[in-house]
Amino acid sequence: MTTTPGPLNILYVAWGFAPHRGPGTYRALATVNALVSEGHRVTVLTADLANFDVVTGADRSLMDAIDPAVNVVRVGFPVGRRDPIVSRWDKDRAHTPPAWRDRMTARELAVFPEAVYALWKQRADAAAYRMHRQDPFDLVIGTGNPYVDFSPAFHLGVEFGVPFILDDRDSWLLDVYTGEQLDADGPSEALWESMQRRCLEAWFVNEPIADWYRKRFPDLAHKVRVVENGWDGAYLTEARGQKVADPAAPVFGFVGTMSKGMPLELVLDAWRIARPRLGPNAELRFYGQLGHAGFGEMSQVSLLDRNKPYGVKHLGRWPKTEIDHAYGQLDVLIFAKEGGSMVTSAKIYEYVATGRPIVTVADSSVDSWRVMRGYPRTHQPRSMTPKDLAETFVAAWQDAREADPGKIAQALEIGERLERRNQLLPALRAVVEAVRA
Amino acid sequence: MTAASPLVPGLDVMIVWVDAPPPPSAVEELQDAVGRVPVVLPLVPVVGVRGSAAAMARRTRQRSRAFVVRSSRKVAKGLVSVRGGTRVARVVVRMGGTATRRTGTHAPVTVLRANVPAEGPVLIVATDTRAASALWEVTHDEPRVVGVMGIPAAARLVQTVAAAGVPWEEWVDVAGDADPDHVYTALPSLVDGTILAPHDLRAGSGGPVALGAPPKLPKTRTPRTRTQPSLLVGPSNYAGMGAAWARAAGTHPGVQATNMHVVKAETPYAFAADHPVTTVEWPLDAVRRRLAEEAVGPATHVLLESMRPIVDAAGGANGGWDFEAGARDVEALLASGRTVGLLFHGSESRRPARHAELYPHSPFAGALDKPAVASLVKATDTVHGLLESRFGDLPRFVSTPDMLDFVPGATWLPNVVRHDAFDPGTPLLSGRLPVVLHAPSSALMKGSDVVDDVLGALHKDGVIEYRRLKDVPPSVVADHVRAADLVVDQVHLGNIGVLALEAMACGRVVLGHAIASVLARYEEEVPLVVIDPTTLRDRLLALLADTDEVHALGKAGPEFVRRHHDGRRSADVLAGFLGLS
Repeated sequence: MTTTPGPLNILYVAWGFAPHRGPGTYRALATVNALVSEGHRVTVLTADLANFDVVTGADRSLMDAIDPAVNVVRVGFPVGRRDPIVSRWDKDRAHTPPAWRDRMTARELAVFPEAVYALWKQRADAAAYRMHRQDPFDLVIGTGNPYVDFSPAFHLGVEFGVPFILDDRDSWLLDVYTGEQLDADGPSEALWESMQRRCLEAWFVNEPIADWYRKRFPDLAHKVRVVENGWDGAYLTEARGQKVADPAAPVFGFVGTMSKGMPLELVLDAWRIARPRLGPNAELRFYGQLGHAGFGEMSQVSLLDRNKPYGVKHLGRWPKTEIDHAYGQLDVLIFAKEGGSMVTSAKIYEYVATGRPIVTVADSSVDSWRVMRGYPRTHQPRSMTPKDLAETFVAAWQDAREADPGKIAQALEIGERLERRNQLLPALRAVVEAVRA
Repeated sequence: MTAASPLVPGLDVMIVWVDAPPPPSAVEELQDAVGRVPVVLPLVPVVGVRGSAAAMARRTRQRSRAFVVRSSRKVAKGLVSVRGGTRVARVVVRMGGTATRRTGTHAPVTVLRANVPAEGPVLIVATDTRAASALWEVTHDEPRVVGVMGIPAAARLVQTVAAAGVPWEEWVDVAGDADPDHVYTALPSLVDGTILAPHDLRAGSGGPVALGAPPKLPKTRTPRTRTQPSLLVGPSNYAGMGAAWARAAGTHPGVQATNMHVVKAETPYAFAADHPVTTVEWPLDAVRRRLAEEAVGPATHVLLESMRPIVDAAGGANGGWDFEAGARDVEALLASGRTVGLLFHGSESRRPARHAELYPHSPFAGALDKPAVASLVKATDTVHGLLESRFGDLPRFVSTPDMLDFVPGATWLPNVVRHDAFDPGTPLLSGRLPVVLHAPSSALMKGSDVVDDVLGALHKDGVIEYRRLKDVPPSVVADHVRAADLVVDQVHLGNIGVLALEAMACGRVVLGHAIASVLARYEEEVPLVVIDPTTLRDRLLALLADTDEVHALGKAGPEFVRRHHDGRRSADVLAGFLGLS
């Protein structure tokens, strides 16, 4: 029962907040915007702008998506091993990189069990303490990765009894692609267990991950909640409808980060087989950067380059704010994803929201299938061979050309339910109620 | 030939590689970002003639290390086509001297030096670590040359500096700063001449602070008089005690008390504080100015910990552990009209030679010239020298009773445990094996090598379950303590530290070293199992054989800690310092 009806003062810790362009940014944006729309006061604790502008890459347009009511506090991130400015490196780093890396890792792990980001811990904690002293928080939400985001939440919880949420999304302790536990019995597991023991709730993006945690820490199972990802209504508008296909110029496309494990070669092999049946103007477009850090494998670059004569275009990293335009150009979407039952992919929500035909190049165990359940325009190859996949491309193109209004309406309706705000709000409201109680 | 970048006028841009030739799309990316064609330079030329320039170009594209330098007299040129048939990148290698007449390879740095434009600002991008190594050498010889690892980062850097409207040369000056963060934290805010972004809380709650102004301590403010004192404790906050004492002092009506904490940026040990700042930010004038205003400003009384500087008011501190700077801050605080007390925790004032006299198993005995101990000797000599020569009249406090033997004339200000430290742990001896915990903050001081040997052997023999913690954050240690039956704190130091008190508070049995004269200062029985390196094993086994004693000690602990360390005794001591009693 609500005993304090006033707005809560909430700290949201997200190293990767706008203008960071990583996939986790959109969940963070949606969460804080949803909280202020519910009337709460929200402060985001994130890294400094220069870190994103220079070191990791930024999409400044994302800052326009931050509700003006959100207070954003930026605390400098020690770039450490990611410092790209060679002039500033010390001699050891320049001359003995492996040994330097080992020492750097040791330094980082001595502070917090997460390489690269650990050195932000003390600064973020200090800022959180200071803000709490000035204007005490009622709730803290830390979203990982990076998991150092959990540190201020945990410490405000321990030191001052502030309730906190661990939004663990893709899981600290698991390699969701293999299902294997990372750092078993190591410091991250020990720290996580302490954190989960003290948190109000621990959130995950899908049931298979949540189940793993329930089984691993059975006495803490009651704290586990699934808060799925979704598509963002702010970025996907015009593309949510039927594109009238030009019979002479089919456009297929993949939208998203092209990770190392993505079955790119299979897709391209199939494309070359299918293209003669799709027409000489058929295009296969890839919107997205190569690799999560934007550094692609040479093999990927080479594959894409070699297939240019077959209408293959790599358009590089595509700003989220222009994602609507990208989807709007495509007749058929290709969902190519590695991984197994613990992998959902945030992109699949956007795919489904468009109502377009989707060719799925993924293992049948991938959790993305659950999101696509009931979606009438999914096209799955009989086997993961170039020949069968080529047949599926042709079938999906046929679907795009037929443009059955009934199917389209049904597809869009399924997509509608998966908007991120609809996924987040029930969880956020429940937490607010628990805090007030 | 190099290409000038219109985005940053006059800037020459090159891409260098040894193992990883830049993919065409990456070269295009940099080209698009800076607006002109970058020079692509392989740093490992293969000397010898292998055909025409066109053939060289093909080899360059197909085999990463293949390039040709014909002779010292003739400049070898290869053309790399990165956009279909369009010539957008030009590879030029100029080598001089007789070296190029020989067949073989040249050191990448030699090739690079021979090709860096003779003057003007240059941005050179390395695409692999070996190229970066060569690039590092050149950038250290030539400050006008900025080296960057990775083409995307280089593109972002040029764009960011240009967007900030900062002249490239000015930015290069910042980049040369020794502070690893400065170049990044300064970038977005160079435009308005401030060092801190508007929402950057490192320096406090307000807006940007101007560069270049050292902290100045404000005079004490009325009406905070002796009847309404305001206390600041800082900057050490070891084990969170600064904050705990502030809370204790704040229990007196009308007293406001806060603590500040200059915490190492790279440590797992961190404790809550009212004015926390890391050692990375503390040296910034702007940060210390804000601390002077926000933390020191309201204070009528300052309890300065460990003779460490709090704001380095006089400037010139060699880091946050510069005791001379701490002494200068004490003088500045006194000059500003404040009452100052000095608080000593231990390591900064526990003279090793004195310890070796008092404690038969002292880790310092016979080791005074070892580097780790010698540095302690030096530090404690400095602190005591300052204390006696300049601050003999100031009130002085120590946090543990053993320290009274090291700081003459001091008053014991008891450590304070957290209120939730009294939450009970698991029932004693309820597991399959007794769980014995050791969680040292310093292995040398706690005698962890002995503890590890003894408890490790007992663990191996199946007598106990030994849990050894290392670099575990304090907020997690409490969970481990509650899950243990016994805690071995230290075997030769002789103090009863915060971990020992927290363990007692939740009903654990604590083993540690102490001498009778120190225990007597509690004026009651201390529920501590006294051990030393020679008795740890036997005393532990005897204890495990006597479960009644275990339970009696476990029961006695919480009440003992409550009587001495729940904050009330500390508040009384501080009342004297604050003039309340």
